[in-house]
Amino acid sequence: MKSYTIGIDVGGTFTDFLVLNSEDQTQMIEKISSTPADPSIGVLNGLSLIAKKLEMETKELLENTKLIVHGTTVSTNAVLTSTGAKTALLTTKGFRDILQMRRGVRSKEHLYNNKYVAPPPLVTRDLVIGIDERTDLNGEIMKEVREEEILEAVEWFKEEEVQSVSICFMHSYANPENEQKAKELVQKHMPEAYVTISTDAAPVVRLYNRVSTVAMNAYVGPILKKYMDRLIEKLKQNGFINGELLIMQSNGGVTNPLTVSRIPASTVLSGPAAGPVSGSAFAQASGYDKAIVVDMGGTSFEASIIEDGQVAIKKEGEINRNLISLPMASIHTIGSGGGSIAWIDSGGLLRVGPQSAGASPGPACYGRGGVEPACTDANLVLGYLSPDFFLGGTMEIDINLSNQAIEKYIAQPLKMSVEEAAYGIYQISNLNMANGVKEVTIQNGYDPRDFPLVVAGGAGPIHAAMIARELGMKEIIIPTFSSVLCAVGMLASQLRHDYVKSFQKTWENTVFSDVIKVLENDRKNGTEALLSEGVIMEDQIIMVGLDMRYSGQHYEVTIEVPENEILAGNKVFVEEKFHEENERLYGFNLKGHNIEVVNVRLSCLGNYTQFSPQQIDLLGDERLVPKTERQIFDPVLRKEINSPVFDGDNMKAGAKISGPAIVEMTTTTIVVPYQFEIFLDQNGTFIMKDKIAEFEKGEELNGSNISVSHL
Amino acid sequence: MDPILVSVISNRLRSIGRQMGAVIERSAHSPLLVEGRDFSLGIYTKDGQLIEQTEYIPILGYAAVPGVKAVINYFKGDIHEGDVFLHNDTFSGGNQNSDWKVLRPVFFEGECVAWTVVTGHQADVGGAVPGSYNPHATDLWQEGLRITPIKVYEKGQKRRDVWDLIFGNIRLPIVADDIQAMIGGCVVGERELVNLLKQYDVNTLNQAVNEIFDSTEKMAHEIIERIPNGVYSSRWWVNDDGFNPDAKMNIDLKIKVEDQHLTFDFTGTHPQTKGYVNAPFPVTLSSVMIAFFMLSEQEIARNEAIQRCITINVPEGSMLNPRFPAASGFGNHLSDQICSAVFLALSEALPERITAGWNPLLSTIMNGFDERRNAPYVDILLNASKGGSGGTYGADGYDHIGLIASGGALAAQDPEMFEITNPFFLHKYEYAMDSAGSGQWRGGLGVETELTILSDGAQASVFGDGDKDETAAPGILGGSSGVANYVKFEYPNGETYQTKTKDLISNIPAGTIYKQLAGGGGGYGDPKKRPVELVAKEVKYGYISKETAEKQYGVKIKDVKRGSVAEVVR
Repeated sequence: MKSYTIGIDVGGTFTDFLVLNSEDQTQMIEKISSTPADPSIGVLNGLSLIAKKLEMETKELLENTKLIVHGTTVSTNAVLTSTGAKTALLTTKGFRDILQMRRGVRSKEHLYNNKYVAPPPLVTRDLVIGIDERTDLNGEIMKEVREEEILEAVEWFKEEEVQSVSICFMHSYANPENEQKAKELVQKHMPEAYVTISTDAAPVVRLYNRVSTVAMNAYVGPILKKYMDRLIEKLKQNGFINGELLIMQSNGGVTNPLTVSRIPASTVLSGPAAGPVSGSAFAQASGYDKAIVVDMGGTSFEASIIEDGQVAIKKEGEINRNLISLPMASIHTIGSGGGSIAWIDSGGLLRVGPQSAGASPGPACYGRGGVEPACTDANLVLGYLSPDFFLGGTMEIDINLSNQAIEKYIAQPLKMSVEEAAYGIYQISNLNMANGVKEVTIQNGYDPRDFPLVVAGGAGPIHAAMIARELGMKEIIIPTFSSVLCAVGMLASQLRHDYVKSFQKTWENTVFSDVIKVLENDRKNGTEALLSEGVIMEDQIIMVGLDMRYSGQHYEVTIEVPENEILAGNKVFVEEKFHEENERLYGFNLKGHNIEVVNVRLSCLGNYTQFSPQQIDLLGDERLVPKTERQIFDPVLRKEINSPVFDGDNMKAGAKISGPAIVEMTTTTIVVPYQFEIFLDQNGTFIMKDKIAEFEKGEELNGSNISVSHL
Repeated sequence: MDPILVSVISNRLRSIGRQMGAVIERSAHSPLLVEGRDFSLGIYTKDGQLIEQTEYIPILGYAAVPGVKAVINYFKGDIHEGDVFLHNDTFSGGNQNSDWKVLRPVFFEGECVAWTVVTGHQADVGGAVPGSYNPHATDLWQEGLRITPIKVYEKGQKRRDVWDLIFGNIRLPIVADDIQAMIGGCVVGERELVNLLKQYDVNTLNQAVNEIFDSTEKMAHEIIERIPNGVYSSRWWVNDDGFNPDAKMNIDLKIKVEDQHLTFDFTGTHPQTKGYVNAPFPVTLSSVMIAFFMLSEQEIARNEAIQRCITINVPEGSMLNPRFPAASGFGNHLSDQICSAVFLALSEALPERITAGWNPLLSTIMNGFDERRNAPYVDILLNASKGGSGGTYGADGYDHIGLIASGGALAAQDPEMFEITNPFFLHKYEYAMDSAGSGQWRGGLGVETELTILSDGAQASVFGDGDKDETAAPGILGGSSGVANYVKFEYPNGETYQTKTKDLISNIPAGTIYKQLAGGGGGYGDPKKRPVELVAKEVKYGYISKETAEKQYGVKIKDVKRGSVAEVVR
């Protein structure tokens, strides 16, 4: 009986693992350095390390593994480092530059920057060929594809050693015939090439959105395939024979490698998309069905939303100014992390980031040549981090270097003490991150005060309390495995297959049986895929989405309902939901205005594994004793105090501590400021609460509420 | 004051501005607001000083400042919680008839403490021509509805009589919906400011605002100090006054740099014209600020404090400050020429920061009846009109960016959506080969568009400049000019008509082919210094022809076969 299930998240710096053993219900995490040149090496290194810790051979581990779920940054990196496949594009004659034009927008961030140069397009212009074909907006073919013309283009592509061919024609969403014919012809004359058409990946109206998505598909397709083949081969060699491999998609769901190779552009957020999934699992285990999940690493800070236990999904996203019209987890990334550098602008105001010292040279305290002060340096000076217990004491850092850096670059110019300057850096970092949370909440119409904050990443829990207070959020959740959040997400996700079809009709003329008809083929494919992944019909969840808007509006709002509502023809229900959604997002609705439908969507979902946090021992009668004390700068009291430091690694459920306090663990440190209280629940999750309301009622600062209490 | 607290409050204000913008971007109806993002928002002090702005389109940023002050002044003593004001009047601080401002006072504990303001370009504002670009207008009443400071909500209640009067004079019902969305933006801004004030009191906010102003001023001082002291002058031209296509109107500019202060003096500029080629003062103010931000090459807060270091003199009665009751519908588009005049004047002092000329906008607003949808339509052909920007030291011009006043924020319509929303069939919409001025850093590429008009009876209002070699985007320091713009109609009966740069073409029959070239930007520096490989690559990409490579860049390319370039010599 195979008993292991393994989640693997290959990141840029680290590869994270979560191993579940269904036999003895044990859970184990592991973190090792990634091997960017061939990430499958890092994966195997990690697996052998895990096997060693389990006192077995890699082969034995893999022979006993029934499922591996994998998230990868292979596609992301190919795009960010311009190392994708050599890609060509066939498009409608007269529209050769749609991909590169990006609708002629220099971007809001560069209004006045005349030296801004846009990232190069994924296909260079010499490899974009206009084909004399045309379909009109009603789907009528006005001009067919001619074989001679395609052949001529193929000859040129061969000469240029093109590996991958994307095809996108005008109005193909209304009739994909010309694209399909062109694909057959290219495959016939160029059998070795990867060929993909826009209507396979995203059959939606808007030429730019489709061309950009299909180019991405072609660009990362061969790279991803090569990596997957290599990984599967290596796993096989090492005993993974009858187990199943699933891949994380940008939409936060997993699928089989075959589906991914058909729409490889769906993997550009393969790693990070698991963050909110796992945040959701922990939040639910602790009794919350919604949350904001944040992950603070060395250079970046990611924020996302969970509602009704579901990850917020957006219809499209951008990577390096390449638009991808595929559903992806709504994750907002900003340049703020432990390595973010503090500096003073020429107007004399303090700023932090987005430049980062990264892992190398790293913050000044690393002593690897970094001279400018980073966020981590400030945290060290303020006493939040301990020089003796960095990464559990496995890494040496020098607080003197932090002091010097802050003194020179911040304190002296601003004429303040090093401590005040460090506190300034801490505050500005918190604000930057709070603004990042606003981008995913307020910008999308959510009020952060209605959510608890799930905090992950090594540096996150140091800042969590103050980010939450800035946003008016009262509860903070810090999961046990917060440092490998994404690897956990791999095993807490659902199988998911998304489809979309163009469906342009007024609401009056929308008949739900037509919706069912348009999605018929997709439903068949989705259902079959789930069956092959082991989800029986009865357990499949089928959701239908309608992209709707008031006539004349440009942005659609997606209304997603269970398939039953559509089958039952429940139009009134959907329409009511649409008005409600407008009210929620923009503060008004236009009841009485005409409505139209633009696209219809289908999601086929199924469960495959249910990660649940491990229960930990309850605290008995023993007194909770701090392991030590140290001077910290309390961010609420705004002064230096003597704070108890607790050992979080060996803490038992039920432990409750009032701030100010520090809870130290091998992979992270929690700052519990004055007016905050922290509690460890039976899932091993820390729940921190802002008690400001109670304090505002008139409780004075005295000895009793800064002392340590316990159950 | 604690410098950290100032940073905190400044961050908060910035994020409030962004939140206001998100409401409009997502909930408005007009393609000009949603696709074009032709709007801007600001937070002002109680007496109308600009604290923070999020300009989606730069020309609307500072241009709102004089009008905001005018409205506050007008209603002094009659401003209440829940009021909403509207304004566009070009003779009490407005910049263009089509750009309407929505203003809402922010009250805290019973006192007016600030204002939230949204300015946006409306799809129609009445007047003789749908879409309200009327090249034949000779006074402001022919252009559209004039809205002097007016209250549309009183203490939270809509003034239905006022509202109905205003929108009873507008052709398209979506304009009322869009004003509603703009009010929504102001309300969101107000709500967030009140939250901020609950955390920090009014005094702290005011102090922080003063500190932010001081810090911005200090930054501006440093930027100005880096420009050598002296007097720099330029003369630049606006062509075609709407009545005489050969008319040439000069913009005269003298920039005085004195340590930490800049004076822009437009004395000598052409007197106001008979038609709509006049710019109210706020246009010049905003244009000068756009040029200043581009030249400063660093992030600086965009508030009122910068104006402490900048003086702008524009003689009354001139084309850039016309007397009542001048028409001025074209005024915003003089920003192309005003910015060019600034760059030209400072070309010697800041040779590495100026750009060569940007393509002067030539655009068409089309209106008519869409027989397929049985409904009227109005759209500006943004896609066809976005030319290239000028090359600059270290970077080529940006391709297909559009007018300088938009800073590259205006989005071209997607080709499929364009065919769906308008009765047009697109044949071509591509970069135009050889449209960019040559240079060590070339200009941005322009585009070539060709479409068939499918419904009978369309009307086209053409507005712009730059249709001749000598009025196209000029090159600089050895770079050559971008190509000139044109708009042509090829009628079904075989006749063709190339438009003037200000023109009104009516009763266009179905089947007419519309052709437009939006020219490229000017080149910067000697083209012979452009790396040979780059020139060869651009021949391969089809940005430039073999002939241009040889003639302009001195790069001989022996053979070009389907983009494959063989044997390159300079």
